[in-house]
Amino acid sequence: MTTAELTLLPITQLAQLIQSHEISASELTHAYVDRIEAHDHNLRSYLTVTTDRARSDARRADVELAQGRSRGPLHGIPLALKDLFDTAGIRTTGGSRLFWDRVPAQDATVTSRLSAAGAVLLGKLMMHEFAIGSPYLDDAIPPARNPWSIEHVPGGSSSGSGAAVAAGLCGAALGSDTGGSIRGPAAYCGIVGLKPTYGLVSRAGVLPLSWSLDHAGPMTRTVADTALILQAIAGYDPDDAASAQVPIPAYSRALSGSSRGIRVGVPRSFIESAGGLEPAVLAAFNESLQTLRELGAEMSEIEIPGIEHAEAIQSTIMLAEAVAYHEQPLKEQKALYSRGFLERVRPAIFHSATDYIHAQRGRTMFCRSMSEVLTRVDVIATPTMIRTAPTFREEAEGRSPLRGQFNRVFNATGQPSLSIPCGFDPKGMPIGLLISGRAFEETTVLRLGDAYERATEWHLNHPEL
Amino acid sequence: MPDPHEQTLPVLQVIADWAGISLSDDELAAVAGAVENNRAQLAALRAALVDSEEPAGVFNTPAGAMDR
Repeated sequence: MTTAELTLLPITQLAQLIQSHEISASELTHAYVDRIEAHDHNLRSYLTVTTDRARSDARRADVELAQGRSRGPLHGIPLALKDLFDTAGIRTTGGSRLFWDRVPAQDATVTSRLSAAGAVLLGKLMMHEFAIGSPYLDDAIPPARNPWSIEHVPGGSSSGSGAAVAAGLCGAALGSDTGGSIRGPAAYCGIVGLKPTYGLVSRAGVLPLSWSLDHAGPMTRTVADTALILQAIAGYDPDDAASAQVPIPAYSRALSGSSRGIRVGVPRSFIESAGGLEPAVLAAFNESLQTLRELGAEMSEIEIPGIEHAEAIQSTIMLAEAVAYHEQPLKEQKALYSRGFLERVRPAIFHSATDYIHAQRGRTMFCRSMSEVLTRVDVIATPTMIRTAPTFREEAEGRSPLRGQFNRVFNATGQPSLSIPCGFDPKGMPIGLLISGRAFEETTVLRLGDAYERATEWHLNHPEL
Repeated sequence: MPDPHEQTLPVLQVIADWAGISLSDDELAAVAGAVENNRAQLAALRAALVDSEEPAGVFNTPAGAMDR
């Protein structure tokens, strides 16, 4: 097996190799570090590579395994974190010059949980500044690039997470998602990304963009890998004010391979009325619905009253909360922010308190509407994005239209929402299918995604570096 | 005091100054389109809201997506 083949294996398979002593955690970590050194100067997916920490974590994992002690399926698996998850003693920048020298004293809760599960920390991943904005190639902190074509963006804001997982520069990654920042890069980079239910995964020690819309979640090469990571990070955390006290199911056990009987709702008119929807995306989406139908899912077309307002609700809340968090530095240290951040956040300076309140009222109304729809179907299927990844030039020229509206719906409601690979466009850029379910019913979403993945081979395609 | 509902550049300048954030004329002009778009989206949302809808309702959605 070549280094590339090894580093692109799903972590479910890497775990088997480690547990059976066919490879050590140190050997696997060495393979990832070598691959990062060989390719990340082109991709720029890492802000910080923690080689010494990774080697130390791997040695510990090997010693424990030699003593007959396994911490579970993530034991010795090299992972990486978007650079907004606090890591004790390791710089955590939020992708910003404002926090360039910020070294947290404590781990984020999810960082600790992955560590306790035996994971190896490879490093901190590139992101759009403070999880918002658009990348420019001439930014002071150069942006991550899409491993399928470095002329294209990897999506954001978890740009480095998407690029690194797709390129085999880590076993899996964590991202954060306030308006599609896990699922968008997952779709653009041809990987799996889950935004869990709001409150399921702790945000303690995660730099905020918008407190009431932020979610942390896994970015992986398979749905089964997502289930493994979710198992390690889900669960109540008293340090997160919004953390939910709910039972945590065995996610991997839900992956039966069958989607029989799952009722899939398709908001067809919402999807097809989206401006800029690319024909290749719609074709791949329709084909994926046919596959789900053949797998036994029950398909129906649905209307979701109020969905046309989801964009205004999500955007108003997100930007108002972001400006509240950044209020002082926006006044005093504006020069340290990137152009992309300022372009995105500035309009919120002109939001009023009543704008924010009306958006919250609208959110309540829309959540009720969504709940009613989800009494008739189990999940909702849409494309993840309206198009494949644009080029950096398109981004810079502003020719790239609004494209994350399918994602944002589920930040407003807080539902679980999973993007999985479902095809490629004629230029060879990946396309994502979005499956969104009821709150805290990740098992249904993962089960359907896994059944689709087993029946298709999109996830087996990897970019040539 | 200009009418804050009329999003002209001078009005935007006043609001930005009031918020303590300095914006150049070019920056104001660049942001005006996005502000106008947000206004239109919010106007449509407000028109769809009924009087009984309140923000605290998010804590009491029957079997809702935001339930705990």
